[in-house]
Amino acid sequence: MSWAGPDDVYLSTSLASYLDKKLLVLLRDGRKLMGTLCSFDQFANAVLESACERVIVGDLYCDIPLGLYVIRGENVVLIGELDLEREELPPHMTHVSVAEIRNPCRFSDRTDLTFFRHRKQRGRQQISKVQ
Amino acid sequence: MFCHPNRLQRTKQSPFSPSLSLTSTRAKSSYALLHRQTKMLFFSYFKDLVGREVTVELKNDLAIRGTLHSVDQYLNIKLENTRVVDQEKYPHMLSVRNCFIRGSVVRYVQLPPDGVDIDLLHDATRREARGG
Repeated sequence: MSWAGPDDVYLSTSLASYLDKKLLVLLRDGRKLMGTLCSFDQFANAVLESACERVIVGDLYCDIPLGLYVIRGENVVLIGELDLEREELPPHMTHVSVAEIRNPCRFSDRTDLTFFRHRKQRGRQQISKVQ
Repeated sequence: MFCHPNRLQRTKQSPFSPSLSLTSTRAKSSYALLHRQTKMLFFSYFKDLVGREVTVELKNDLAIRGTLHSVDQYLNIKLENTRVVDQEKYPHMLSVRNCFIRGSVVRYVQLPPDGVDIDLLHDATRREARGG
């Protein structure tokens, strides 16, 4: 990624230290993906194993399993290493099912609004596929 | 010292002149030509800030405070010991302590006031404007 001179070995900003770790990836559209990093490249393209999308609406949250995901680097905002010893979410948040999170009573900001429109479209596509 | 970490060593090993000042000037220009120092000012600057506490504000308005662990030529940033500034608004970031931030999404990097050597920075900027 950078010119690593002999002094720069410990300065390296590569994602190598995150390999096989459980990560939180924030995307530009506001989505939060979680998964294990399988591989990456100089553009921050990433492959996540056992990926799931954590949808948060107010105090409700839900994890939607996605499987193996390849993320194009230009969409990546942040890749965070999840500390397994800490709680991933504040205790006041409650886990709900996928169906419940798609029909929330309240939402907090524009990002969530975009999510609902997107999810509604995907929901319709999934239903038609099943049928 | 606001310069490439290898620069001084390179001048000492130069076979052309024993004088440090002469070789440093030559090394500066040759370094600029060979290694494109002209595009590396902020990269070098952030390398000097490694270990300092900074707050990175992203284009999606998320602000993260942490210790600068490393930076690369794309100005991607790795932070350690991170805390989100407005934690309640970003509950998903609660257990994140180390993160990699893509350079393209950074809006601001807020620095400690004593983290800036103004004269050195002015000097390096003028040098870069001249073309090395």
